[in-house]
Amino acid sequence: MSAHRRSAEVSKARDPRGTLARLFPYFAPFSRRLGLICLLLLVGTLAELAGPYLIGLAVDAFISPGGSARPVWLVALLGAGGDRRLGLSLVMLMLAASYLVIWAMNVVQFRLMVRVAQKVLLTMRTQIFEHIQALSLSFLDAQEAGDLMSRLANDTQVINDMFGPGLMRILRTMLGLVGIAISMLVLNWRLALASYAILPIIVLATVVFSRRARKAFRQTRKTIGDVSAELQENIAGVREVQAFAREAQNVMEFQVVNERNRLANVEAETLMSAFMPLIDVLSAAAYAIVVGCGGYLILNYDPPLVSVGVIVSLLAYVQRFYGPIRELSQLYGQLQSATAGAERVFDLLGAEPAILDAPNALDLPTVKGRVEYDHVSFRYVEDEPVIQDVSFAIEPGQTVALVGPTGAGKTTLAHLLVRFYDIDQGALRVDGHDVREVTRSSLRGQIGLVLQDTFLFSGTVADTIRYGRLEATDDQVVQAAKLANAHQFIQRLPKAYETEIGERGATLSHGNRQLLAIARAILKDPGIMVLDEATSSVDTRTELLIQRALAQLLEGRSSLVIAHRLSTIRNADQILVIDEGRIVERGTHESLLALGGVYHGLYMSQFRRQERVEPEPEPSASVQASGNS
Amino acid sequence: MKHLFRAMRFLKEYWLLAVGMFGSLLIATASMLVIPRMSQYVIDEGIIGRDASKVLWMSLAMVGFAGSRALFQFAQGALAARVAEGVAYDMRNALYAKIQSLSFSYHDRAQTGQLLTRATSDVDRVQRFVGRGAINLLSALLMMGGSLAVLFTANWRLALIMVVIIPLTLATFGFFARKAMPLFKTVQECLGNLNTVLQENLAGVRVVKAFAREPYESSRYEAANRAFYDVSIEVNNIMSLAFPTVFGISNAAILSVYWIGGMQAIGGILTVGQLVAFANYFMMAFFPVLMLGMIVAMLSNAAASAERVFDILDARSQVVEKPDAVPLPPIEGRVVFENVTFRYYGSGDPVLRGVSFVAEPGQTVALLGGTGSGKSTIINLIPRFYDISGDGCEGRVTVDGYDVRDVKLDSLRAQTGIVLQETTLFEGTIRENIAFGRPEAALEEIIGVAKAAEAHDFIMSFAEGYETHVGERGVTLSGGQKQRIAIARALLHDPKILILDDATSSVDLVTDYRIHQALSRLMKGRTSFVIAQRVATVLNADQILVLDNGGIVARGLHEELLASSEIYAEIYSSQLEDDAKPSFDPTAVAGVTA
Repeated sequence: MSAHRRSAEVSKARDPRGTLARLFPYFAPFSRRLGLICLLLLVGTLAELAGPYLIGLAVDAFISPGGSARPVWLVALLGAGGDRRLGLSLVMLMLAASYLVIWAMNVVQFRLMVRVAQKVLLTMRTQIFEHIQALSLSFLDAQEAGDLMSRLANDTQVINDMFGPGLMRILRTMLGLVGIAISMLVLNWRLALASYAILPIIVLATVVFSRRARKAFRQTRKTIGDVSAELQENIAGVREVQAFAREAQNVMEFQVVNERNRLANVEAETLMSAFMPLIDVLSAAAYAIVVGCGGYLILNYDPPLVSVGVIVSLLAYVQRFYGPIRELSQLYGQLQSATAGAERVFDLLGAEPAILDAPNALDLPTVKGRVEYDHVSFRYVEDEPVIQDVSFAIEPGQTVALVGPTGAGKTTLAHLLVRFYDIDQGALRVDGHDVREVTRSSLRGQIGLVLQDTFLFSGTVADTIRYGRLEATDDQVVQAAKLANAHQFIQRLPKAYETEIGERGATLSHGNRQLLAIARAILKDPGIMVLDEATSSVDTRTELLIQRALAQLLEGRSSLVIAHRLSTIRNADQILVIDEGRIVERGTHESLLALGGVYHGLYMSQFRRQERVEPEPEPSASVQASGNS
Repeated sequence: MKHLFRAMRFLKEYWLLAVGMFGSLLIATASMLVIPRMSQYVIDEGIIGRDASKVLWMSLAMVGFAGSRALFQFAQGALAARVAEGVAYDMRNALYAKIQSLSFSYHDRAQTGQLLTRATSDVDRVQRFVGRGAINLLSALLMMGGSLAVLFTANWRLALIMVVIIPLTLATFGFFARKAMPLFKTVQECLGNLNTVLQENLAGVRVVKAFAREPYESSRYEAANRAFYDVSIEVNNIMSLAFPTVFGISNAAILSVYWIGGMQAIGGILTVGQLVAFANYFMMAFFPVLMLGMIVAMLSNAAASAERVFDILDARSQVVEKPDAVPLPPIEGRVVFENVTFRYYGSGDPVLRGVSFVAEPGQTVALLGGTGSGKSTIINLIPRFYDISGDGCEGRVTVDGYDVRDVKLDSLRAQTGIVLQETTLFEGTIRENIAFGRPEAALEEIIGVAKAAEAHDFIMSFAEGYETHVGERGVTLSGGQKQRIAIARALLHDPKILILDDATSSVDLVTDYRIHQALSRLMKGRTSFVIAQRVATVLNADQILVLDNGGIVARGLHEELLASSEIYAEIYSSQLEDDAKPSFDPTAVAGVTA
């Protein structure tokens, strides 16, 4: 079914210049250090340029003295004319010194640059994390978690690679190129210009190749993305695949996707294997030009227009010229993907947190637990109202049950109370305080939330429970676990309360996770409870434990319950039947049944199936217990 | 290492290309080795010897050799790409087919992420080594050998420098690698920690916000971030010393060539051209040493990856078709368990102990019991997702008299329909998902089963109807909708045996009702096994099996069991309580039964 997969995202920045401009402030605090790095680079480059020059000098002055175009003073300084061997040694010592300088400059500048880049990344990652935390759920809902992960993990890494060593390499190669070009001109402008003839071809080839190569590699990334998507899906769904005996069909489909990936890779690789040899042959041509033309200038002119030593120097420069060009073309691609990465990061940082504390927000005082929805309307997207003009109140200690079909807006109503989203119209008040006028932390600190899919952070069992109240003592943690009926199963874990759970720890059953979530909420001891009743099937005993734990949790608190169990519904002080974002009926179980409306229909549709059930004469003990006193 | 050699066997398919690749490599290397010699002639005989025609011809010849080197280098690269990608392609196909064929007991233990990594990045590493690393190794050795040979024949005294330089470079590499390698591992671990904190925060964002724990989470992240920073700096400090030092050694080599060579030239032993050529050969001999360092790192990576890949390829599926397996003919649907004792691979206690029962064609068998009582195991044994074989397993399962182990898997599973509690939908359209087991099914058939599964209406409410995309990048379906698509999917098979888990997790009452309607329609005329969660299912069953601790503790019809079995009564009242509740409400029951 992969044919329908939409193409993977294309990694190319829309506005490279603007993005780079936004990166600069991150580097600004390090401007002095960056200045120092540039200075070191310059010194290093000069030292590198000295190499070929010194070698040429050695040839002309001492190894093969002939017609010399060298500055006489330098040769004189080295005591030329006297001992040729001594002179050679002196030049070689200078060469050694220059190599030592290169080494030192490289070590120091690399070290400095990495430190700067890592500091920038440290800041950037923290900033992104804080920002994600500040963002409202409506933004996060619209993102895929995997995408956000990749922004933090991969994009910052790409930026790291680029702006750490990468940027330095670019600077160095550019400096080197300019330096080499100038040195060649100074040494012998005729030969230098002749060898430059190859340059336009190289530039052209590089541009054309890197453009095509980027396109080809983008294609490979896209196709390998398809391959892993196909794999992932069919590994995750392998039970279905085998149940429906679809293996052969899948293997065929996979081969198609796999083949596309193969072709894309072959194309990209072929392109790349053409590029390097091309550059090599061009640089060989430049080499030949220097030798050929150099020979011509020596043989046909008297005095010769160039010396053998200069030719040797120029050959060394030419060899150093084309390496950096090759490197630059690679770095250019890296720069592009780094820019694209930076752009995605800034996109994220640019997203405004929709929900902020009002500037004059007060802390919500300890609540009694009166909750009031006052003509509340809300929509996630323009023109698609989810909640329309809903009004009701929960008196302190009351339980209000929300029932209705999937997608009616029950969960949204619950989420509005903890201000995961901000309402569009009306008001939502807790003890008379509008939720938008109090600080979020004081509001959420007093509302307990038990969600349907229980998420547990990695850490020990005790950590997990303590998440509700970080300063709770061990005794309090155990106490909460006992009230939540979780103590028993925790005791049976290998290290009891110190057992690691979460991604890398022990896996807990669905039911036990719920019990932990309830313990967590009990420890938090909130004045108001919001509960999304989960009905995923758990075994009998656990279900009973959950029921009792929930009863414990709701006791004496104002509660808003998204109800799935008829038992819960019947025990609620008030039932709200929600459909398409409105309250269509409200009342108690009996009054609603008597009304004969939507609730009656819901109830009867469930009920009629059980018509043939004969009432059990003696309900067993467990039924009474779970039947919610 | 041995795994890497096994990986090399994937090259067999491509031996002709590989030979071509090797030939190109030889020619390219030879051409390359000639070039410095030519520049030596140009300088010595052309320029210093004052022979213009030699200068011209030699320069042209140099370009010619460079051209031929480039051509064959390209040929080598292009062929290598084909070989390497071919290996990756074959390896992935093999992995995919293997993964699909491995039985449930393998997948129970395997993690999706792990398998995925092996099939993508591990294959990539192996491929890169087999296709390119190996040839680069060869090329590096050839180039080193060639240039060393040239160096020694031309001037053995100068060449001796190389004897010092090569071991020195390798030792330097080794020194830094030993210091950096353990740190690289730490870097990966720190990065992993960082990502875990992040991922947890994204997944659990509601919890974080609900408990107002942002500052606490920030401090956790900050700590992980700091640790990552510190270890990155440490690694980089080593690297910042390593690279310049290695290049420093290469510079030292050049320096000694010019120094010693220069002295020889002054003494008249060496010409200037020879000196220049020598410097070039030196670079040629030195470059492969650098490459060797990289290839060795690549090699150990690739060896580890190859091992992980073969781990999967070597995994033995528990469920293997017999060589003489016959196709199961169209069945009536009589399923018999004969004294089945079963334990899962690698686990201690048997999950089924001596289970025997007979399901006649068309019967509905309801399975009841707590978690771990063996319900799921029974339904998994019928389509042979697990095999009754190995230590501590006994008995057999037959379908219409055929032992499930004696028939072809396809033919067995094609006649068995399954609706699992957790429905997986695949990337693609609704239509493709319903036609999952029979991709060639006509649209009319698909609509037919969708109607029967009560799915047609909601499907048509989407703008694109049956062509609506579902899955990760398509529309999101509710749990109830997914379940109905799963029912339609099973119906399309028109299976004689039907297996279902009738739990409807978190759907509203109306949806629940409709799903139930669809299910009872589905069961008509088929032998059905139902893990019962509702009263209605139990009431309609022809046979109820009550399981406890792997054994059947009671069997019969609802009324009989209610009277005779204590366990049944308890399960009935607790596990099926959700639905049964209203009936215990005296007022409600009175109203209806009266």
